[in-house]
Amino acid sequence: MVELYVPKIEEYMPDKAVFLARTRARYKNIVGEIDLLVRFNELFLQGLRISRPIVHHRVCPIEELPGALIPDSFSGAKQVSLFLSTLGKNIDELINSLLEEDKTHDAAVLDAWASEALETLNEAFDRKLRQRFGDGTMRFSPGYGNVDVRWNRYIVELLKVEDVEVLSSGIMLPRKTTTCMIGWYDAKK
Amino acid sequence: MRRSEFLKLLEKRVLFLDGAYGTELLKRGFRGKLVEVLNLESPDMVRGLQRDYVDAGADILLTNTFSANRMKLTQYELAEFIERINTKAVEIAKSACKTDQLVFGDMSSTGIFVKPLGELDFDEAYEIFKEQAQVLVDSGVDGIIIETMSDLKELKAAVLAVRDVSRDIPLIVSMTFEEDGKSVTGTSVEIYATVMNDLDVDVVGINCTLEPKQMLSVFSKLAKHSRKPLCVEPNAGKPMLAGNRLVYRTSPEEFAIYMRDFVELGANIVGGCCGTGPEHIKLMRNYIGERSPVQRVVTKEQFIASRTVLKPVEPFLIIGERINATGKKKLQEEIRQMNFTQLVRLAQEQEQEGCAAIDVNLGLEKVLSQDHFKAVINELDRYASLPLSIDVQTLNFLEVCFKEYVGRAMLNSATCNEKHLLPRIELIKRYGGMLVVLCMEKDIPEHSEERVELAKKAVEILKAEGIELERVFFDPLVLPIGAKKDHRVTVETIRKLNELGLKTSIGLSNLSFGLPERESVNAAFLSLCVDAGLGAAILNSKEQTTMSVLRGALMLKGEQLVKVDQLEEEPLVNYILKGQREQVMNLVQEMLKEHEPLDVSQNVLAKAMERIGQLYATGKIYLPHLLLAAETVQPVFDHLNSLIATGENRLGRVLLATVQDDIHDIGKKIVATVLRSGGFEVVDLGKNVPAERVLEAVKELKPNIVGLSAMMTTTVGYVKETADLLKKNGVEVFVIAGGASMNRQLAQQFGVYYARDALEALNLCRRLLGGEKA
Repeated sequence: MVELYVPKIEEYMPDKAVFLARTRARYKNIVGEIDLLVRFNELFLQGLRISRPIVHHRVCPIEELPGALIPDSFSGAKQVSLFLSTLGKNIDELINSLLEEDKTHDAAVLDAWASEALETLNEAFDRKLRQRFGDGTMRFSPGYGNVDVRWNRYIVELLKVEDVEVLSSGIMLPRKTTTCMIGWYDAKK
Repeated sequence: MRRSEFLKLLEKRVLFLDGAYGTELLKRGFRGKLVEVLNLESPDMVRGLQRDYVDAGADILLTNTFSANRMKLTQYELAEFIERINTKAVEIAKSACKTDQLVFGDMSSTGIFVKPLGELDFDEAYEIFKEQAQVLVDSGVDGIIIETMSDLKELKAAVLAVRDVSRDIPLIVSMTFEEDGKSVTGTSVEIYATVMNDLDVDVVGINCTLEPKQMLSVFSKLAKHSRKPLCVEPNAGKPMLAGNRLVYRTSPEEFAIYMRDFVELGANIVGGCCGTGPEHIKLMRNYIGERSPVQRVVTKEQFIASRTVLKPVEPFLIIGERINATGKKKLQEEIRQMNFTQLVRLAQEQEQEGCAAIDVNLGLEKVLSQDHFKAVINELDRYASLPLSIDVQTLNFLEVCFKEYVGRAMLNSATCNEKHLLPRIELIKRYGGMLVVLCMEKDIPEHSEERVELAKKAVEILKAEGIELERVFFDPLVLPIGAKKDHRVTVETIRKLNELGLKTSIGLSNLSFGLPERESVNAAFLSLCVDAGLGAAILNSKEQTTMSVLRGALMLKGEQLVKVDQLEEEPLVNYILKGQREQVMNLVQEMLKEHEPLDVSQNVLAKAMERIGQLYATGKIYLPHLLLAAETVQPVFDHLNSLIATGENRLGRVLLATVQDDIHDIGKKIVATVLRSGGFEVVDLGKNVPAERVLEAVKELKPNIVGLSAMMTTTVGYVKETADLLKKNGVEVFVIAGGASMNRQLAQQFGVYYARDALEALNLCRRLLGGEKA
């Protein structure tokens, strides 16, 4: 059964040092530049305001999934959690409109912010699942290792997600969307 | 908790302080006058809030005792409960703790400025703080925080009081600043940091007044100058009215994001002030998480400071020598009679001549009392702005000076004799400051080697006492060449001390005592000394040759004196700014020979005050200067008004009041002073004035304008109540509101005008009476 989870705000607030690193800025080096810091913070807040994060997830016995979707590292797992997390389309639209207005700096910062916000959300949800299912594999996403990124379409369909479009390349829209899998060693939980 | 344990904890991780009490208790239904009363009447309400803070992740809980000092409690007729309110607060906070939270006793201002800015005696302030600190410490707090202080002198009294109660209690101090990094009393955050570097406090912080975004740049200056661990507690924005409720606009997420920046800037303790609640603390804690404090880069520069002026001692410190009553009978006699006119003039002149500090030597000390020294320090604080070098021989007089002084002064001087040196070291340990050590004991050694040996001996004593050598100047001693003394011994001593990495300072003019062409001799010698590494000199800054040669000698070393910012103003403005009432009156009397009193009042004096207003508005002068100027012109205005026919002489009548249940008076008094100096008649109804009383007074006195002050979030609603009552009764009068809890948006919602400060109030009053409708 597919479940939905709406995260708390702190579960997708990215750490500043990491999000700024994505913009190639070192937090400790720019922290004295107050105006810049304030601008980053305003974009951070704008990102938080317009994002509509949600997680679609389900757990299935590993044998029910196609073999090509299961990465080698899941060896020994009995069940697999699959989840799709997204920040929604608003953030894409905002980034695009900033680009159209030639506000490249703000668009780049917001893009970095959104990527890291999604990663923070995945981390938080990962921790949540582990509390529920116990011992598991490392988190995995199609596109890495020996699993083709086009398996995203299968996951989106499996999770019955309607608001996410998967292009033939496997890329998902909204752009700030990821699919993840974790294998669980204990079949009972 | 011991200080060493607390400091160790601060090294390990960033700690989280709780949020607001006043605004949060209001939100939870408190409707009384003073939240501290809840400790006795409704302890569960306080405990409930503190439990929420603990659940939110606070490591440090403050006791609900912010206003529980005798001075404040007296205003609410609660002084007899001081012990119970404070004791109970500690008990409640401890009962709210769940694991290893710390309970810090919360202390704050008496609400009255210490002399010379206000009426409160330093010793009185000290006793008030000591009484509260004693109760809190006896009740078992883990530490003390002194927060939301705006007067550095009052803070100093509080610090000394806490330390005299316990040397081992962890102590956090926190001042409140405007966005420009200055307190309302004109002290910059850099001066605050510099003074606190010396005082025996564990953590230095800033809180209140500003929201996180505005506080960032102020905090970054603190981080650059403070050598102590740092604490920060911003407000959650300014209050706004939503329905009947005051709300603060900074959301928990905005608060958390900015608080992360403070941590990156070097904060060791983060918490919230007005408008923050458990939800702010919780999100901040979750977002920042467990984190080691950032290692900051702190400036190594040494500074001396007065209340409003900070001067680096590098590359060269010029100390004006002319306040020296030794051998100046007239000056000595004036001082004895508590007449400081000449003394203040000398200080002001030396500032104009380019000195960075003023040496103060009152001559024959046995004819003077402690009151003389106290008065001199206060007069110079009030009328002059440069830091002082306190050249006083008698130890208890020296202590009076250092106790009363606001800033970081130089103690001039101690000898290398342990018995002479140790008590002076104690003074700078207790009160802060830099020290001049003379390279001598009972007698002055003939040769440089012996002088250097004595300096080395002093260095050992200083090190053993924990005094950083950066805080010390060594005086190699300058002797009169007229008495056949070899000036090269001094130069050689400077060179050797410089090689040892020690700072040096000389009293220059002694060299040429009794000689003709003193200026040339002094200048030539100073040049030799600078080349040998001299870092400071007490000299006669009127000697232009000496000053020019000094600049040249420094340029040859690739250094340059920091340019002195001097206010180039017309004489009347200068006289007013310096508080020279007699000169202002003389100038006005001259003008009255050719002009009408009304003309002089409105076109000369009022214009000069307008200029002073501009200087204040652009940050060139500070509140103490503005107040001094207002007080200086007031009697002159009064004199002119007495010459003008009734009715013509005043711009209008303003009725001022602090609203019901609010006992804060300082801001309103400042506004009254500035309005009077601007030509308004002011009637001050005082503090804690109910709306009905304002209405009665308006009906009786028929003012043009009513000015209402509200400092507290618990009382700001009375502004609306008063304004509504006036409207309801059909009274046609302009209502202006101000005070820490007011803001422009809130004023709009209340249907009143808003003035941010005294100057804005003056300009607004002028504008309103120039044609705007009520």
